[in-house]
Amino acid sequence: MEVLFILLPATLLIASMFVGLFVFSVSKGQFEEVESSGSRAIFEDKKQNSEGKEHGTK
Amino acid sequence: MIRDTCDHCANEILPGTLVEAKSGVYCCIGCRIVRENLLDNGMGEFYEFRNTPLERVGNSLGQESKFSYLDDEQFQSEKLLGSDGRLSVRFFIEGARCQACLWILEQIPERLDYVDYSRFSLDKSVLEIGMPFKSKLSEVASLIQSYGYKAHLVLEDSKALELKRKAKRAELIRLGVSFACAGNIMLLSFSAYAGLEGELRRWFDYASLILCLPVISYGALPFYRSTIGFINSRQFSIDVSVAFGIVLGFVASAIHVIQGKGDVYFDTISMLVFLLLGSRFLLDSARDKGMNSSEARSFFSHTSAKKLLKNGDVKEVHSSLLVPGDVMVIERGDTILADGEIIDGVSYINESALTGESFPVRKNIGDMVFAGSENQSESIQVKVIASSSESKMGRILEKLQSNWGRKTKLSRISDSFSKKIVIVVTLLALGVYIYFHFLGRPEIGFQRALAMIIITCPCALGFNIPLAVMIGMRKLARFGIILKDDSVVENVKESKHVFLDKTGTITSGSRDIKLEWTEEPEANVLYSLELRSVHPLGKEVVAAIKAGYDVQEVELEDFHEVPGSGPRAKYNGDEFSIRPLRSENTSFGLFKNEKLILKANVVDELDVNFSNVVDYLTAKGKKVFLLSGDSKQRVLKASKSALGKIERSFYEVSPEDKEKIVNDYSKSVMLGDGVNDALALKNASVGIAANGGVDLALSSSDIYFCSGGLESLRRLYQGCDQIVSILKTNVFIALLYNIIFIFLAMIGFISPFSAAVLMPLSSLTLLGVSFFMLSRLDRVLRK
Repeated sequence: MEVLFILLPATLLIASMFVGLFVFSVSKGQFEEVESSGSRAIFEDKKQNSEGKEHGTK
Repeated sequence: MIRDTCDHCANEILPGTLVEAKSGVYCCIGCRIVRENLLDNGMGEFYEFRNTPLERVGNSLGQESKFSYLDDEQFQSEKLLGSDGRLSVRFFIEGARCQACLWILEQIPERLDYVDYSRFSLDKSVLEIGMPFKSKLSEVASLIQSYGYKAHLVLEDSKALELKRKAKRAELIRLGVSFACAGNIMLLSFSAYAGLEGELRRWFDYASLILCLPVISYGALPFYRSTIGFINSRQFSIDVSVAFGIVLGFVASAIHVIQGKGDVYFDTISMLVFLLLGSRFLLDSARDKGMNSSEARSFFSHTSAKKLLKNGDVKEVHSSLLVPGDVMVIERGDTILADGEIIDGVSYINESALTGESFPVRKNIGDMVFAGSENQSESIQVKVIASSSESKMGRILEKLQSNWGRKTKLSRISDSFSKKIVIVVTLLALGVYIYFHFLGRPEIGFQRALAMIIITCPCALGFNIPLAVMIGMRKLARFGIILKDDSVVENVKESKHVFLDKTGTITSGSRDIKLEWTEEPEANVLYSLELRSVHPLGKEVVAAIKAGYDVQEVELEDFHEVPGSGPRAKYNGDEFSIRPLRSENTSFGLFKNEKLILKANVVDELDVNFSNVVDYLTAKGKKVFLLSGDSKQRVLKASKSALGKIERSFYEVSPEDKEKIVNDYSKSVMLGDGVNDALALKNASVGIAANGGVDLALSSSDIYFCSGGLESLRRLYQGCDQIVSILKTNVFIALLYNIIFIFLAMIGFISPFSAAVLMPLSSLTLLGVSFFMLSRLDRVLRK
């Protein structure tokens, strides 16, 4: 059971890391307009692809 | 005859854009393709049903000027300039629904180089554009329009918006942090529930203590703020006892952990904070998703006016920049944006937005016209007497805005009830502690008092009821019934008097014209007369004749229109005239040589559900009234069709009178759609803006019906009944639970620890009951 004495602080550390990430993403506005952002990711992908094609034909 | 309208869209073909083909003449290639496609596929009947010109989408043909006011430097710097010296513009986009719309709207910077960014929010239908100051915003607006969307400029204080956004983010972070801490504390506590003892238990307790610190110091801040508010303003709320309970619980637990004996309540405290924060967050988001009233308000004041310059040019300006003395050019279909006097032209003006009168009024040179009314026939010039904000309409608007703050009622039912419980329990707990203190056993007193405070946890009420109301509101929203605030639910249920506006509410707004020939029909003459008439009813009569007769235009002599009467002309030596007849079943007549040959009756088409819904309401014990600015004859006729179920009909009432009448009756519900109803909507206990209501009516009402006014009214009543009964069940169970368990805690039967376990259990039970009842709500609404 002694291992818990190491695991416990480690857990807290990892948990606080995730909380930190969450705070970061919220303050960057990632959770506003959930719908739009989801779709936007797909478009950006396509745009890059089509630009790539253009370069290819040139 | 020169064909100057497009065969497909029936719009005017502008010079230089004519497209000729075998199949017809068109204003553009697009129209040709569509029409040829329809004809090829045997769907030419489309053109028989199409009786009004198709709405022209697109900008390319002389429509740019409509937005040119957006380029005005004065306007840009006053209304749109951000703190960084660039323009930040928000448009509300009508008609954007899917990912494709999102894509095309965000392509704007690709099309227009100077646009910095374009971000569209599907949730809110708001497009944000960033661009340099003094650049051509009108091009952006035209581009959006050319994609087929309607763009409404949203004028809202960008600083306020930014603050709102920041506050929302802060709330979300607070919620997330509280959840992370509460979740971890819960995991650690499971071992304690299972009976962990000794050194490891102390470690776990210390870990819980550390995890609880952010909750108590950061997560629970809103509760402390309310408590300070309570001390300052004596406004008691659940927050006060929550703050009291968690601080007390935390201090006691911390002491116990350090001493190494006694119970710890970190799990209870952190869960309580998280659940309360979560419920508030959900409620706020639900409210935001509904109608954002401040945005709805700003739609109204954005429209542009055509201002006549001294050199004779016409310039588009924003309505807020119009000053007395300016001359506005108001074309057919334009909305008048300031009060003024006609200095040139004669036209029919629809003032229904202000007066409720459904027939347009003829206005001559020297007559006053008012902001908010619509020009329905000829182009006129109006000298501004009162600017937009000073106009009659502007003043109504202002009055509404000054009343604004008063409408913020909280969800009173759960609030007032839980407040009472909380006050009683806090006092009881204090009494118990004092009692044991004097007995010399303060630690037992503290334990019991804490158990009582925890077990009363207003969670069941603070969380469950708002959640149930929110889900109920969402369900109603799916049927096109949008409640702006949860507090109206009870008001609807408790209402006694229901006022219905006539035009656009119980009538569908369109009119049915019945023609009855008393002599040999002269359909061609009637058709030709009405075709040339400027009276807006003319168009509807033309449509009615076309539907019933095979007519063609004939050559009329000496055509002239008599003000206040109707068109007159000679045909084949006979004199024809159309004159209004104000009798029971006739609106106007056609006279041939002074002899009546046709009786025409204009009938408002009543909503098919009218008498059903009135039946339903009267069966529920509500008294139904008609309240309309329309003429006596029309209102009484509508009233008659409800077979005597209407308590009383008010007709020819002004907006101010409507307000007074609604005020005279307590517990009133007002259903209306026009600006003329706005004051009444605001003053009724519940104001409902029906289908297609003017923006203003929306911003002054509590509930908005997207469709089917009267059917929605029935659904609204059913929905509110069900929601209120969910609330009552919740309150009843919570009351029972609290009385039993508080008593048990008081006599020392329940330890703070078991209280902490029982509390979430009771919440879950209530949640289950609510969800069961909500599923029944669905069934009721679908009927």
